[in-house]
Amino acid sequence: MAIVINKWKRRRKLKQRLLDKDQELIGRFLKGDEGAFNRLVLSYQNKVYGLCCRMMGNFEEAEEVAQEVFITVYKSLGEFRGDSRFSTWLYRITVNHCKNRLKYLGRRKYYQSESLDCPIESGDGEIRMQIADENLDPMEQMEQKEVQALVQRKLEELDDEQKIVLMLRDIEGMSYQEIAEILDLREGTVKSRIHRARLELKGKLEKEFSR
Amino acid sequence: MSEICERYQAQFNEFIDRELAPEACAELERHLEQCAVCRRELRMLRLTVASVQKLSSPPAPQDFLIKLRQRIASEQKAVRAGIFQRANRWLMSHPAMIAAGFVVVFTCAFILGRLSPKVSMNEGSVASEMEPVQAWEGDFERVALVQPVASSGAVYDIAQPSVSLSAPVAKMPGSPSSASGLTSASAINEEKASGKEQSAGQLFLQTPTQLVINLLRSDPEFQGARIYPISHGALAQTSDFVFRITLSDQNFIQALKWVAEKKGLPKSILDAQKAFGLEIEKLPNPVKPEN
Repeated sequence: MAIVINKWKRRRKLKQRLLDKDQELIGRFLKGDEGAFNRLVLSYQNKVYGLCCRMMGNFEEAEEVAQEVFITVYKSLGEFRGDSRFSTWLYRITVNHCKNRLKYLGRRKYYQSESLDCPIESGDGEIRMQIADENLDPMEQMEQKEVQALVQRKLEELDDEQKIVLMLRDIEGMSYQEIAEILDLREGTVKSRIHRARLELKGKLEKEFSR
Repeated sequence: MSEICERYQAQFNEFIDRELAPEACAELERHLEQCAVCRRELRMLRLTVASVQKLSSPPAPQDFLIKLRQRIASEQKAVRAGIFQRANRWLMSHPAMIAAGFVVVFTCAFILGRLSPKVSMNEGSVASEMEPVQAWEGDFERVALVQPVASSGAVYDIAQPSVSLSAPVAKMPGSPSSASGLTSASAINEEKASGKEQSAGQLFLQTPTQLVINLLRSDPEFQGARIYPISHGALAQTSDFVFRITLSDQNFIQALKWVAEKKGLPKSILDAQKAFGLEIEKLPNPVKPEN
């Protein structure tokens, strides 16, 4: 028990230090230190790009949007008041840019053309499963890679609002409260959205397995 | 599905996310012990959540930051052009101001020309043409410094005889720390004059930066590392660290001589450190702060 608490404490300390680091870098950038901005970009570029990839479903678009996000950050860091965390502010910008871009693109017409996953196909083009043991869940029998590809595809089938909450919660590991702040929603709404999104995804996966 | 089960299943997500109140947790656990349907349901939901959590996101492209800096630079240029245009339009509608302006400018130029000593234009124009990559020069904290075995050109007998060493260094005009590009360029010219640049020329080793990048690319330790050019060297970002590898102008000349003599680059960064005092600094990786 003590170990767990210690671990948790250390983690929180680390998180705090990261927050201070962001704050310090922002301060230095606002005083004219361009190198500080570069470090901010380096520490968040993977997260922002990853989020964009999932939202846009296309690498090229994702890069374009991620670049726009950081240009916005560059221009408006002076307006960041620090009453929320920098990462929250950054994700908020990211989500808004992605939404706008999706709207502009007339909603995923290009979507089918180049999908993120590279489906693992077995012979006749469908992922197939043989249920060897009734007691084991089919998902546990599958190869890790196959599960990933399948989950990826099913996740993309969800509508954007549901996709966003699942990504922020399960991939980025954010609390309900942070998600609510990013999406400008009430916490209760976030909760119920996550609930519905997970049930929907679970339903889709189960359907896939019972076929 | 019974109504009771339905009520419990509505709590599953909060239960998984550990956002459910302790009493409710205990009650739910009691129910789970008795109800196989709910157990299975919870298991499937857990698997679904875990499978999403395991999804990995692709990292940003290697040149993401460099592209970003270029875009920021070009946008700033556009903004400046916009201001210029607006000023231009305003002036066009006020021709008298142009005449007044000319008078003021010429008078000032005349007076200043009389007063100030001659200033070379060179440095200013070089500064304005600098690449956006220059913005990399933020101050990093040093966590560890790997000391070069032979520092600042003192003991070089591992690589080459000391007689041939001292000659070009002594001929160098000015201090080595001033105006980087110029001194190394003149160094290359001297090398060319003495007929020693054959292999160095083929590898495009015109600047310390190019040499360091070539070294990094050929070092298996840095395979897959991201490499960013900085002045006098490069940053190499591996999965755990960022290395700043630099070569002073003075040591760059040693390096060129070494390369020309051995007809090739040292096998690794560490060999290069021993051979011609490459400076290697290990910095914490800003991309991977959490572990």
